Amino acid sequence: MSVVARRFPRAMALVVILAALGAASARAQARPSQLIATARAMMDSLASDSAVTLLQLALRSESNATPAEQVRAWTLFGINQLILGDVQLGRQGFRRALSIDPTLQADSLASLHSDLLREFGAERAALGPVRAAPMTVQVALAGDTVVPVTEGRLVYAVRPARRARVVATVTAGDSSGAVVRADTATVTGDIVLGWDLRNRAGALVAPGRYTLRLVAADTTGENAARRDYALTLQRARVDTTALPSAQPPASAFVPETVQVRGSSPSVLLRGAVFAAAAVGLPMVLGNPELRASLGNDAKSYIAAGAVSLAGLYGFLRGTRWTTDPELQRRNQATRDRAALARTNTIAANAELRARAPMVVRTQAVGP
Amino acid sequence: MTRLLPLSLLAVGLAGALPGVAVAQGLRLEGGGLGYAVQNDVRYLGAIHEQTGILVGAEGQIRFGPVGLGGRGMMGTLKGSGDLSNPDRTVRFTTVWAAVHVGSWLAVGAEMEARRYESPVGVTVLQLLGGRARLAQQLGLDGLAASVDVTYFASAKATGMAAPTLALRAEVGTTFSPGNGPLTLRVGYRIERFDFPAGAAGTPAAGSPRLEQARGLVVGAGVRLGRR
Repeated sequence: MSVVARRFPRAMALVVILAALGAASARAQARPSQLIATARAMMDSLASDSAVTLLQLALRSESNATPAEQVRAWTLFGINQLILGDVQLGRQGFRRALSIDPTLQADSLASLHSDLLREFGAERAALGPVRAAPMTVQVALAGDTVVPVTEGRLVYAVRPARRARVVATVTAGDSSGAVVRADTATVTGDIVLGWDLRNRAGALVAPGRYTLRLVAADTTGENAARRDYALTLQRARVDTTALPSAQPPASAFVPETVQVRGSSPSVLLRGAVFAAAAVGLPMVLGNPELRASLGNDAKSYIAAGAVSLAGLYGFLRGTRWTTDPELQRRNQATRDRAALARTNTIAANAELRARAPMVVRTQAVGP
Repeated sequence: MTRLLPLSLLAVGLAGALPGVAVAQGLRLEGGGLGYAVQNDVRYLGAIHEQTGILVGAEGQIRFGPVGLGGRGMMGTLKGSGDLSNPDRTVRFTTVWAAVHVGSWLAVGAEMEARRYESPVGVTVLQLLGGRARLAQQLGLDGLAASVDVTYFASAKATGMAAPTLALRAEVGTTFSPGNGPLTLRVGYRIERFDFPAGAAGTPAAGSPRLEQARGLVVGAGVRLGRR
């Protein structure tokens, strides 16, 4: 296959990509990050010339590439130029990248080609001792927010000044407290991170005070920026159901005793005792010297008979109260229903509280 | 007569108003008439004399919460043999008492009684003061109960004769209010005992105490108003 024939498909691909990007730019300017990512893909397809064209588009001043994006674009530009055989343009690309980020590391170049790392190293050596600019990081975090406890996240955007490794740590209490959650990401440009209010075991954290620490360190690890935020978590108020009384009102119960015909046999006994008292009264209290005159006092027997008849009448016509097991069961069922309603309400209220969203108040406390 | 009329009207008015007051204030009023078919035995100078008669009277009490106040009056004639050793005697008993209901079955209190005996021989008056206890048990129906009343007179004064060394009264009976209504019926057996000291030396009664004992049926009917 001739060189023209071999290059023709790549040229066609570039035309297609540029046409697509051009169409896109007609609607909105293509983002430098997209151009850089596409250029990286073209490199994997060994289409370095197409990649160079895309990188040049990303590096145009009107593309507003961030410093980190410019560093990456210039680095890839240098690599592609070296691949295409233009050492001068290659080293120029590295030089421009190093001028923006003197701490730039390119260890991964060795895996592409040993010459790449050598040329990069030469440009780096030409810069002399590296004194990196201080790392800065911008964080966008809502002041107060309501976070659902299921599927919710406390979202924050992190934008380091240049490619950096971002470590987000949540600690209980202040920044010296126990680590609740930690996330790490290597960021070029900006990144949106979030905390789902859960600890490392996946359990929802308790309301209280926490500290979110964000550290962005450059690739050398020598320059880092830090931001601390105090997070106050509290449950949002929920409308719970009033707890029903453990004891149902007295009107909910039925009397457990019923009146049945016929008094207790003790009534008969009581009547007999009083009758005996009537008969025995003269014997007990009467004067012994007059006892002879008492004889069998018929009047006492009349009274005793009257009392005995009263006892018999009371026994036959009287009523007594007895406990009805069925009524007891009904009352017990009423108590059980009340207890169940209370238990269910307690459970429902607990569920409501558990599902209540968390109100997160944030306050910057760090540098 | 002109003085009695206003007092009588006042008494009638009070009597008419009392039931209403009782219901409104949670009082309980009881009152009624009673008869006492009594046999009185007297042992004196070695002989036993018997007197019989029927005493009639009225009894009433008012109860407010656990506290009850009551009174009773009875009068009648005890017929003896007619001679001087056992003359007929006209008697009049007046009794007042106050009691506290310790429980639904027990009431204790104090009682004061004046007993006046009048016979051709003379007039004798006894003034008695003592304690009383009443034990009552319901007999299976509201308004049907049996009871025992015991009164022991610890203090006694006498006019016209020596004061008794022992004076007591006891009664066992039953009360019934048909349908637990206001009407109350009662029947009981009562015994009363009075032991008098022997006469002084040199008198006919020396060494021979006078012993009196009365017993008989008590029946009554009345009404009760207010709180049951």
